[in-house]
Amino acid sequence: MGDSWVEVRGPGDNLKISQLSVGICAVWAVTQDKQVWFRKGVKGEGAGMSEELAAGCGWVEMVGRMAEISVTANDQVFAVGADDRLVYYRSGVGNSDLTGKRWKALHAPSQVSRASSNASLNRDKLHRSFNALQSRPSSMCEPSTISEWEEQSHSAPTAPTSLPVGDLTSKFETQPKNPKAWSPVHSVGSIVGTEVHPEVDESVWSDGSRESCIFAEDEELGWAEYEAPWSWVEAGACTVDPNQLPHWFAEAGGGAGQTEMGEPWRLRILQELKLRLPTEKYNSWQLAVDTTSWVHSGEARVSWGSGTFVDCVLQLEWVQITGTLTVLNPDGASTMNLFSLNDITCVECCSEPGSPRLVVHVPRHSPALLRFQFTSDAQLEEWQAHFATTCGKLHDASGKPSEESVWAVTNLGDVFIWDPTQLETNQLRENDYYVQKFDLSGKESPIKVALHGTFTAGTTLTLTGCIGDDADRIGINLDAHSTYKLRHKAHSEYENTCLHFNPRFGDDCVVRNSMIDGKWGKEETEGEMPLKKGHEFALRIETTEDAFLIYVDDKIFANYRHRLPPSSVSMLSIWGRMQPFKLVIKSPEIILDPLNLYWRQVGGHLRRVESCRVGVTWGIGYDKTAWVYTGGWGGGFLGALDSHNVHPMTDSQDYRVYENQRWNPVTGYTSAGLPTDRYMWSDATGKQKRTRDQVKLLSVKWQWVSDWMVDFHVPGGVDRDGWQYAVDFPGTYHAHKNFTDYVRRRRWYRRCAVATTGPWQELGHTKLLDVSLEPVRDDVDTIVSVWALASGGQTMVRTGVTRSNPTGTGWEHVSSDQPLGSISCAPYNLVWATGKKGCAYWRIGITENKLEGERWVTVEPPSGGQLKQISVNSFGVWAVDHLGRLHVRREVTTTFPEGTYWQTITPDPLVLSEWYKSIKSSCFRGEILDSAPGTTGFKHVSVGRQEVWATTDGGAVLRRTGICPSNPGGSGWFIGIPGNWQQLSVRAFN
Amino acid sequence: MANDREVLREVWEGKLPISFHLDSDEVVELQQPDPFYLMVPRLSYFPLVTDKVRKHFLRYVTNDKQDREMWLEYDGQPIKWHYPIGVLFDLLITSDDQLPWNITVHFDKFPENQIYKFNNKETVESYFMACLKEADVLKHRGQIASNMQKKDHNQLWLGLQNDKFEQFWAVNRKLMEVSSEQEYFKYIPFRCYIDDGYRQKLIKPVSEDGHRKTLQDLINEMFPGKDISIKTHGMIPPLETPLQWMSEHLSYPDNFLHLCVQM
Repeated sequence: MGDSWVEVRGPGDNLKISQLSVGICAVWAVTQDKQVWFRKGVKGEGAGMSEELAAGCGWVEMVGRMAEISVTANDQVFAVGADDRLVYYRSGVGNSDLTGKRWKALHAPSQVSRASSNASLNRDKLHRSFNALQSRPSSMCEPSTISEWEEQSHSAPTAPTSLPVGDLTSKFETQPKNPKAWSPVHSVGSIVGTEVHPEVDESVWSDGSRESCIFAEDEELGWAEYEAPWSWVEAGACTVDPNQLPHWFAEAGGGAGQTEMGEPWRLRILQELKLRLPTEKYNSWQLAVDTTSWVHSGEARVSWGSGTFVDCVLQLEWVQITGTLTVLNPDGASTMNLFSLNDITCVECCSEPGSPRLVVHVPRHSPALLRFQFTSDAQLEEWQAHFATTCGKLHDASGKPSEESVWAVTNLGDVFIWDPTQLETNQLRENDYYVQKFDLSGKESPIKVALHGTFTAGTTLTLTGCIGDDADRIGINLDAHSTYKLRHKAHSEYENTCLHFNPRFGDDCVVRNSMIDGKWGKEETEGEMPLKKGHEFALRIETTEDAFLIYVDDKIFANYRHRLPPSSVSMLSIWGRMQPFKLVIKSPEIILDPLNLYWRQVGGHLRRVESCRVGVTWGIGYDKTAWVYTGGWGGGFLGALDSHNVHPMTDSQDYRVYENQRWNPVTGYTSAGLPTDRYMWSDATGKQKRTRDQVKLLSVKWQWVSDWMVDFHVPGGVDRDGWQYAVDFPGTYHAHKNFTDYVRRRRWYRRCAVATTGPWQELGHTKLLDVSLEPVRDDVDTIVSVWALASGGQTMVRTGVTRSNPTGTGWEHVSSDQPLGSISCAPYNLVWATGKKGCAYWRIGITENKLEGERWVTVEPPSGGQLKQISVNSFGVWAVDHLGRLHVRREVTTTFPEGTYWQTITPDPLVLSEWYKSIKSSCFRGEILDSAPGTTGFKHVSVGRQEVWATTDGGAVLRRTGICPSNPGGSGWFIGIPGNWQQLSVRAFN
Repeated sequence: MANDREVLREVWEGKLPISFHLDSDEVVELQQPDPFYLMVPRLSYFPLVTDKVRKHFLRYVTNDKQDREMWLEYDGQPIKWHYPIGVLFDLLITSDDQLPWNITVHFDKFPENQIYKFNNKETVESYFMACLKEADVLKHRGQIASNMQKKDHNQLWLGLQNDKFEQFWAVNRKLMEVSSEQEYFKYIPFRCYIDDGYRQKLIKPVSEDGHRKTLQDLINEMFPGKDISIKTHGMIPPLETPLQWMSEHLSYPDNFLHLCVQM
């Protein structure tokens, strides 16, 4: 308490100190003229002994004009600029130099912008310009109107996020691994994460929550329009380690650095540096310092497929141009598994709270994926970086990905790219054809080989082999996907065969036929038997527009008119007494097996990503912030290793728990429920127990930015304490208690934020639900038509977007009768959207001069379905409904772009069920096929110019085959890796 | 800030093909040893990269010479080991036809009056660190290098020695930052190689009126009235390149710009 006050003279006679902040050895003051002063000679350690050490010996004027200043517990300094109202951090403050070096503006993008009862949250917009001050409600900048308590909580987003990362790590790891812990972020195989995923939470399509789905936050748009500069910073409670600043403290990489990139002198220097040596000539020379071979090893735990985790030693060996991953037993001596890095197609994070995990996809192996668990997030990132650099080198995935790339995001918000040009350069070429060769010698008939090329006109299949001496009948079939019909909850399979080539030596003829939906058609048997028992043969099948031309030993044998579209061919099956040697497929189009794509990660945390033909790519974060791809790469775990044009990035998610209560006549509403009731603290469905103190963040990258708060923006409305009432669980909830209401619930939320880096730049502060991009013309400088939905479901178009200016210039609102949930546009004059009630809409009157079009026309949803997401292109109109079914619009023509009806595609057993695995073992596909585990429905669909890809709720990626004008719905799926995919965009893929 | 990694990386990756021959007078075996071919980083120093060369030739010289310091000779002149290899190459080799660079290896008669005597790699290290500190004195009044810990110094040295770009730049970045309120270095650390030696001068990266100085300004201050060009890292940077940027991106690991004057 001390004895008495000692007056300390101010810095000048006429200068009144307006504010003062005291650390341990530092006292900083701001005078009324906004000048900053530092008190020298203060020594906190000796303050109790000596008045001089406590009071210091003089004022030093500092550079900078500040409105307000705050010193942290370890003498670090924060301030709010007097003129620009930015938050500044004083860099270089240390024990030896308490005054530091310079003021650095904090460039963390806003993390909290939710319209909430706690208005102060909205003020957390960082670095908003001052000029909007006049248009802001005064409550937003006057701290006096907000109570002291709110002031504290409002400063939370800055203070806790600035905790040194190191501290958190240790704290994080010492926490006991609570099996009940759950996270706001959904992860692979995580039962616990699922229910609280914001998307999942909102898309629980019970009657009660349908109202809201994504439209709960209508007011938000209004709030987001305001600029919110800072007025106060209070850092006294936190410790900032100046040597380990959170990376978003760094100033944005913009400014001078960026402008220099295009300077002619720089380009000349770079070019000359690159031309210095004819490197090929000396490629084989020994290096004086050999850096090209190394081994990285460490302890981890491994899980094969879905097994439990066991201890292992992981060893990554890189020798000049190739590498091996070895999984050793903990003794480090014996090998559990070993494979070439060439076989890895994707490495992605699949952490769960307290368990940093990576999944490594090796689809050519069995099991097709391995999960590794590491002891810390830092270790995980180290391995991630090693995998990224080595696998990237092998797949030639470095530098800027091509503009044709397919983009995808995982359930954890990680962003991946598959670059088709990389496949193209690696695929075998002969003249103008893409070639795929299979060596079948040593395989025993029957054999099935998956054919991933689309059998368009010009495709040739050549099969060589030898017919057995004792052969009677042999079969060589070009099969399409089976048709599945659902009856009594069981699928029955009806096979389809485009071409059945069936030499019968007993009958001395070759039967040609097709099977459609399990029924054979009329046999064709003309022609002499060209094959001989015990002899080798070469069978060539050429696809033309209207027939298969069949050649035997280079002589034309037969002409078989198509009965099924040849594009639906997906498998070659061979049976009978014969030994095949070699299979060669030549296709005018690229042969694409979705299982073999190499997915490369770039930094960033996104919920959605959307691309288009000219390479303009936008992302939307979980906090609905829009981000524009900068054309760079790297960021995130790659750090500075191999990064270009990356910027700090934040995103946030909410944990939600429901507090449930039941009324009884004695005590009113209490948390004592009936024995049959749901958990009194639960998820939205009530099936999972959720208590607030079990919450654990996913990784050290995540930090809490709020405390638990009652959510006043719950669909159906709430009373003033946040409760909503119903007759019983589960029910339709409403805001006011009726006489018959026996139960009530309220939603609590707590927000956490992630800070990372990535090749993304924040677009602005307008929050988005969905976006779609499509170039208007075919040239590279074309205007890109951009349709977006604001967070309230309002339609907007972005003007001025081009390849060179991917951010565009401004928004223009487009009126619509009701809020929309999903929008898609392509070609530019065809725009479809889905609305709140599950209807579809399409826009008429769009011309190049009037990109926003004239009006919406309603299209009825498919029966029993409410459309949730839509994707359109010249290739088709596809949509996903709330039951996870896909719908394709049929009879779409240029004159009737709205089509006439929806064809429904349910996930077939090939995608769904386990029984397919039983035939899988007998099926040679050049590799082992994995199905799509955990899939019950489709999650998202993306339609490109010639491709339809979808993700399933089990996280698999699917590619539709057999789409042709006569069958716009296609015939089946090729299945990619179960990569925990959330959403993808094939819009740029050509 | 030295943030243009593309350029930094390219500079770092610079390598030279060198063919080492043992002086035929020193060969004791009947058979002449094969030349030793090596790709050598431009940014390094000869004593750091010639261990393999020494090992290769050692068995061809007499036993009594085997403990002596190896030294290198090109075109009749002993090679100054304390210059970065790239600087030596830019000074001595004028055309690409001379590739690979043929260097003669000696174990005998160390020319002590022409080049510094050196005992081991620590000699190189202390020379390197001295240069680095001198450069920091010019840039930041020496405050950054002297505030660094021993482990940072080690990391710089090991990064250079092991050709680890990331390791080196993780620390060197701090040396290339601009300090406190200033946007520029105090002076640009550089050496202009001319007539068998080099010249230095205090040159600021900005002019009195606040303009960014360029390479042209440096040449004007160093060699008034002369029409010359500068070679560094095997290329001739455009004269309009800003000095501050050059210093951040084109300095050798010792933090000096080594500029070879071309008449």
